[in-house]
Amino acid sequence: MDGRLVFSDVNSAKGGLNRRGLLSGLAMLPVLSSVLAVKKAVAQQANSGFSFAVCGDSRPMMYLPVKEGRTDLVGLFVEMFGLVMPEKVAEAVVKRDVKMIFDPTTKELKQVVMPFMSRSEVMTLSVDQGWVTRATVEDVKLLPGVHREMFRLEGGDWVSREIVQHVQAGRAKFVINSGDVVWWGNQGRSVADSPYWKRVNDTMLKLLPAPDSEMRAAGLEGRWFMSVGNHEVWGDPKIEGTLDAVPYLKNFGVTPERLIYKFDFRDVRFIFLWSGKYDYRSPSLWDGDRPKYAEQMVQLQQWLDDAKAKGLKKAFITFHYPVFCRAGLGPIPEPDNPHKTIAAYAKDLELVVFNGHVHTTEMYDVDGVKYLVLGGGGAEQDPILPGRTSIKVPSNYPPDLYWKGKPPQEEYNYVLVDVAPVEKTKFNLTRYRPGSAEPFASEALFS
Amino acid sequence: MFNSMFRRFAFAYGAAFALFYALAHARGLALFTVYPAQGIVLLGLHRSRDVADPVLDFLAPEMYWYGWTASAAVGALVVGIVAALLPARLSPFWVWCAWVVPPMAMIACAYLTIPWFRL
Repeated sequence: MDGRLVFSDVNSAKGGLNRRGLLSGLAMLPVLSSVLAVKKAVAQQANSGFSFAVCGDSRPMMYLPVKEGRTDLVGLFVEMFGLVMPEKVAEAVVKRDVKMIFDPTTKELKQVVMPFMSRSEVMTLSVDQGWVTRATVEDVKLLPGVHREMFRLEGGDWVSREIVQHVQAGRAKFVINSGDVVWWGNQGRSVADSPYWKRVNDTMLKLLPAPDSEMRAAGLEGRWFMSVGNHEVWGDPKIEGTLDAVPYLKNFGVTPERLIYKFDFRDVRFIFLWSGKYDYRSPSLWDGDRPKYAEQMVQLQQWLDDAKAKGLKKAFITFHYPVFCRAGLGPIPEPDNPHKTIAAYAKDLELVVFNGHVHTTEMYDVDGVKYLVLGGGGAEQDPILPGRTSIKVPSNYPPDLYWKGKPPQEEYNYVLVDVAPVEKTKFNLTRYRPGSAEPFASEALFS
Repeated sequence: MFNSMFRRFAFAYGAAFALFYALAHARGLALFTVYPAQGIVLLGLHRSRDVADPVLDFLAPEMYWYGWTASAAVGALVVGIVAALLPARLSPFWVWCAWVVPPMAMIACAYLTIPWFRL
């Protein structure tokens, strides 16, 4: 049957019942119903739940390659100490204070003994194939002989493996990282050059499946999204490494001059901000200048207003420095703490904030906003060391709902977030506590 | 004549030194920085800085006092010489400065030192 014949048939049947047309219409019904079913499925998918994984502070410690003996290592340490003191002084410090122990047979670097954060603390780094695999700290005055473990390379690798398995199995759609995924950019600024970005690529990025058609339709060209941490700009101010490893961030408008972005997925808004490059005088000060704090807050308000106008009910905001924190480097100091700006939207949106930076895990629920400080992604857990387990906070400071007043322990973890349109978001943390009687456990958060 | 010039120089130097010391302290104008633990002296002011991890300042504590003092001494020397060359009728002014400026500089230095006592 060609088109012309059908046309003439339809014309000839004007005013009466066209049996052939009716039969054709009936025959088309299954096709129509399947088209409708697909449309309905797409609509349902858009409104159905999904999960994603989130972690932070996932960087390893230093990579100390041995090429031709000590010289390179001394140079590397001088470069590192040179960031905090003049080069001449750094050279003298490294010569005096950093001791390197080599395997007499293989000539490979096995151990580094160097000063830690205070005068009486000594850090011992174990090294294998260039990577620091273990870090312990001894306070030679207060507790001589006691080496406290604060870093194991396997912790971060365990987090990566678990997350990758969840994404491969379809349990999580994508991954969010709250920043600090590499040590610095002084040993390379691309996946090909930087041992740190190569490690991120090998243990996470290249193992994640390609985004599906729904994600691509939402503009997501990958399954791993991050907010830029202070370590990503250390020795790499133009975030060459980040843009090389995660090039699809450029699609959201991320450039060396603009480190913030947002996207929507299944009627949920995801916002990523940039809190700064680190200032030793105030380690959690929001000194992000691309754009500056005030501009970022204006942009944040615009994005949240827009989410409200579009009828979105949930927003996840990720940036590196913590809004609330009771340990380590402390929270973002006022007046540039974004809590009030964020909390102003809590009556209209379910708001969750992911932070990191402090190398431990904390959890707060303040003025209707949920805050997760995710510092257990793999970095050294220095807040477990005596004297750093808590900082002075006012008596009415919001309580940490994770450790609940107990001192933090060495712990590596990630959170699976289950988002459903009409239900409250669920958070499930899975952890690895080396040396604990219960090394592996899962815990529902905010429940 | 020489006595009068020396008086003007001494009063002006004393007042100017106090003023320049307070300024050097406030503005960080150290002629040099001393690292006593390493036995290193570097020209100009060098502050510990950091871009990523907590400062390891205790490894190489720097001393600015010598640098501030040297800066103030150089500035005061210039003012003292100028004062010595100026007419003798300005002597009362330098005496007045020697009484007024140092106490004010001491108050300024005490104020600048407050942050050291904050936790």
